[in-house]
This record gives sequence, C-alpha cells and structure tokens, in this order.
Amino acid sequence: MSGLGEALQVLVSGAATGSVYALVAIGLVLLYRTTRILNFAHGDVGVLGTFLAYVGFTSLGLPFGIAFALALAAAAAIGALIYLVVVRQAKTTSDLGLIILTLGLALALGGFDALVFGTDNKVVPTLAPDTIARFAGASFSVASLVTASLGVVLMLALWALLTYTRLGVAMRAVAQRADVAEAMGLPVRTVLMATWAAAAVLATAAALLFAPTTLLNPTMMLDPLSKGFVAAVIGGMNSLPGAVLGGYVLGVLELVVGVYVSLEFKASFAFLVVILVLLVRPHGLLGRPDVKRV
Amino acid sequence: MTDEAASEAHREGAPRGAPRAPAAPAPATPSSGSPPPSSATPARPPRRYGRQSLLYRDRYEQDLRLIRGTAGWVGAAVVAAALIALPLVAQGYVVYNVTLFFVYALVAVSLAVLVGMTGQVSLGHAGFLAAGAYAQVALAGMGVPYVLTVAAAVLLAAVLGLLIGVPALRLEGPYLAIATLGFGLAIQQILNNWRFVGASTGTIADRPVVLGVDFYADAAYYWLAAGLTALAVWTVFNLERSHVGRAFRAVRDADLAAQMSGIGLAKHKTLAFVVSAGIAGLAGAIYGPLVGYLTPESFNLLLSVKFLLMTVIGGLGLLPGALLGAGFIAGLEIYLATFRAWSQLVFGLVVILVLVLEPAGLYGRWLKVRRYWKTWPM
Repeated sequence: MSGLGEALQVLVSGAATGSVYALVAIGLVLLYRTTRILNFAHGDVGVLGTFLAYVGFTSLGLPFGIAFALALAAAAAIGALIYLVVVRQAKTTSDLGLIILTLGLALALGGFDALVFGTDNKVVPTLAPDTIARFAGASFSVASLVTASLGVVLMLALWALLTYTRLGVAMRAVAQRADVAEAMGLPVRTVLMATWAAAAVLATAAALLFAPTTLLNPTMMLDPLSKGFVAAVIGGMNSLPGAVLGGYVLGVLELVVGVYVSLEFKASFAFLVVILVLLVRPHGLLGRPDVKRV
Repeated sequence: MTDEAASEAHREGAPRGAPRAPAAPAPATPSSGSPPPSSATPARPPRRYGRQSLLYRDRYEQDLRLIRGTAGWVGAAVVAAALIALPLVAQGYVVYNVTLFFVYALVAVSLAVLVGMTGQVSLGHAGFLAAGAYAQVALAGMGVPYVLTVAAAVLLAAVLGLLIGVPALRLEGPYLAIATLGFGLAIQQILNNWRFVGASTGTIADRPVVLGVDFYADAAYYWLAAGLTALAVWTVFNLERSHVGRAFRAVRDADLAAQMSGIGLAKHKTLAFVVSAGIAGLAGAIYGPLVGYLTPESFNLLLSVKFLLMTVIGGLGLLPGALLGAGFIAGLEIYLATFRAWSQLVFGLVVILVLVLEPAGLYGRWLKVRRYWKTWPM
C-alpha cells in the first residue's frame, strides 16, 4: 500500500502548506473586500510579527507559545497603526494609488526589518516537537499536522468573529456598502481599523506557521505572499470561503506536481493554474463579479 | 484611473473631445427652413482673450502640435543639446547611469501606455524587459546583425504582450494584477531553467558593432541608446495624440460608452498590451549590451514594482510624468546607495510620502505650479 501511503503523505503535507497559503489569502481577501486595497505589505507585516516573536523567544527567554501569542497581539497593534498613520492620511483614492501605497509600505517595512533585525537567516522553532508519526503506511511530521490544524482553528475563529459578534457584523456591513453603513451610525473608521488589525494578525499567524519550514529573514514571505495572492484570486477576491478553498487546492496541487511531475516546474505551476482558472472563471471559483452601472 | 492628474491634463488641454473653448463653429448648413440667426455667422478664427490664450488652446491644430510655441522649441532644443553633449563633459559613471535611465524611462513610458491610457495594470513588465534583453543577446550571439536583433527583441516582446493581452481582456483590477505578476515570475523561472540562455548563471552580452562602427565605449553606446529611446518616446507621444490614443483613453474612462461609440474594446485593449510590451522589449534590447551580463534574478518582481512606481509617482500614467518618475526613482536609487542599510527603508518612506502628500504625482505638482504662475496674480 505504499502508493496509497505516499498519496496520503502528499495530501497531508500539501494541506500544511495549503493552510499557510489559505491564511495569507483570507487576510488579503478580508482587507480587499472591505477596503478595495490589494495589500502587498501583507507579507512584510507578518515577517515583522515573526521577528517580534523571535526576539521574545531568544532575547527575553519567553516560552515559544507565549511569544507566539504576544506577537499576534503586537501584530494587531501594527495593523491598526498602519491604518491610522498611513492609509487614512493618504489622499490617493484610486485603486492603483492604493496598491502603490502598500508597495511603498512593503519596501519600508522590509527595510526596517533588515535594519533592526539583520538580513541573516534565523531558525524559528516549531510549536510542536518535530517528531514523525506513522499512519497507514505514511509518515507525517507532527509539526506539519499542528500547522494544518492551527490554520483551521484560526480560520474557524475568523468565521465565528464575522458571524456571531457585533464587530464582525459591522465589518461585513462596511464591506458591503461603507457609505450606507456610516449613514446607519456604524463607526466605519473604527471598523476599518479593526479590519486592518485582523488582517495583520492573520498575516503574522501565517508567517509564524511558515517560518519553521524555512529560515526567518526579511524576504521570507515573498513566496507565500505571491502564492497567497494566487490562492485568493483562484478562490475569488471577495469570497472568504473561496480564499480557503484556493489555498488548500494550491497547496496540494503544488506538492502533487512537485512529487509526480517535476520539481523545477513546481514554482511556476501556481501561475499557470491562476491563468487557467481565470480564463474559465474571470472572477475566481467562488467570487462574484462586480455589478457595473453605466 | 480618472484621477486628479488626468483631469489636470484635461484642463491643460489634451484632446478629449469635450467642447471647452469657442471652437470654430460647425459649417452652417441652411438646408431647409429658417436657420437660427446666430448660426448664420460665417466661420472665423476665434478671438483670443488676453491671458486665457496662454492657458487654453482654442484650435485643434494647436492641440495636435507636439512642441508648442517658441518657448517649447527653445526648451526642446536645450534638452536635446544637453543630452547629446553629456558624454563630452560628464564622467563615465554618469554616462552609464543616464543610459540606464533611458532604459527605465522606456519601460515607464510603456507602462504609461498600458496603465495610464487604457487603465490596465501590469505587475510583470520586468518579464517583457527580460524577453527583449535575452532575445537580443541570444541572437547577437548567433551572429545576427544588430538591427535585426533589436527588431526581433521588440517583436518577441510584442508577441508575448499579445499572449497576455488576450486573456487580460476578461480580467480586471486585482485579477489582472495577479495574472501579470504571475507572467513576470513565470518568465523569470523559465529563464532560470533554460540551459540555452545560460540558466541561472546568466549570459554575457556584448556591445554591438553596427555598419563598422564600434559601440563598445560607454559614450558611443550612450548615443545609440539615446537615439533609440528618443525615437520610441517620440512615437509614443505621437500615438497619444492620434485617434488610437484617444480611443485608448475612451476605453479607460468609460469602456461601455466607448464601445457604444464604435471603439473596438477588445482590439484597443489588446493593442495597448502589444504596444506596451514591444516598447519594454526595446528597452530590454538596450539594457542587455549596456550592463554586459544578464541573469534571470535581476528581472525580479521588485523590478516590475519599481517600474509601476515610476509611472505612478511621476504622475498617474501621464507620459511626461512617466519620464519624470523614471528620473526620480533612478536618481533616488543612486542617491540612496550611499545610505547602505538604510536605503530600502528610506526608499519606501519616500514612496509613501509622495503618495500621501501629492496623489497626482510629481507631474501633477508641476502642472499646479505652472498654472499658478500663468494665472498669477489671479
């Protein structure tokens, strides 16, 4: 049953990678559908949070779990700060101007990381001991199982936030029609600030889960960020379930291609998929086209 | 894409078809009945009203002119003379960097055609640049004459532009941005694995010899690059004021209305991609022999991002703005190199500051200043 075992193994490690992509993608989609901003600084916010966790773990000697949680809290503050200091002050209202703004932000944050924490590679510990578990002829690393399940927990938490809390309902209302939401008395700016904070937390969680599989440096999130964009676009930029679906589909497909087709082709495969999906469905698998008025 | 910068330009007078000044009245055709008395007056050149004629152009021929008035001709002559004389007075590294600026300016102008005129976004222009550069270098390595290698570089990039432009018809906003981003990364990875062009180690590019003239020296190559750049920029400036340029802008501002007016949406959107990619390919053909060595990793996402920065910071998609932006970003990079570790942080902060303080870009600011002085003291 080695063929089946191998397939199972590919599926689980693909899902672990996919949950990182999905976490990045839902952060991007959460922000995009509320603010219409394609946030290229998303990865760098995550890297900054990860560096904070790393400093807490090594310099301050905190247990990694505590450092992890503190980094998420710090990321929320960073996200809110970005909204208050940069995004709200910008007079640019065009979509392209806002994209460029986040590109500038990404460069500034990356430069800040390189300046403060250095560009050398750092090793980030995993949340769970990196042991091997065996099941049905396949061997998994426990850490990747934890990564996959923690990703699911975070996504469920976001879903609960959006469905059952007043803040979540307000976020959805602002996403739907900001001007009407404001007319109804919703504090739109506070809601937007909360959205930026939530997106930053998601970015940091994704970066913290991704970091142990590679090495921590200021450009660590470049690849997961572009894959997260691909996942979000495959799923549809205004659909959160689509982002999750896109993330897992991309994670598994990529590993299947890497194992069964060719390793060299693996990296560019994602962009082939996105072009194919967009040819068939220009607004992603679960996305809805914007209604256009003449 | 209808931004403040665009509306500035509108007021300053790119032909948008909107009736503003008292244009020559349509030839009255009193075919039947009694025409209204006002329209019976014969067509005559419109009167000029003091300072206003400085601000507004009131005849179509004035709008069509590329260089306007004595001041315009003097300015153009001074710029041309300065550019031609530069290698005679400046040091080698200045000449090299100005040649590099020509490459950046060409790509920024090509993006202005795409982003500024038709409102399509591209985060993959480094891919077109790479295609042009590699095509030129590979063909030159096979002994093909220089002129043909440049033509082939433009052609290959234009064909790639067609390949991206057709699927791009169905995409908009973030979807197009990510699809083009993917294209740029895919080109980079193809080059990274393609042995024929040296894979990840890269390939050597020689300076050309054309008709027995050796362009090995920095100054000689500068003049060659300046000539090619000027030709391309002049063509694009003329394209903007042609009926094709007007169709591009109509597609950008109101695609449905443009379609209603008989403008082929698919044709013009694809054409913009082809033209833009072709110019980027030409920039690549200049870039290869200039730097002397091509590696796939130099055509990364950051380069595409920088090209977009140039176009937007210069003045959202306006052609003079693209030139200004290319100069600004290229100059800023050279200046910031002295900051070492601080350079990237400062670069990002400058980008943010420009967008926060002047959403219309550098050229938008210049237009404001110019209008202030022209209408002074009003």
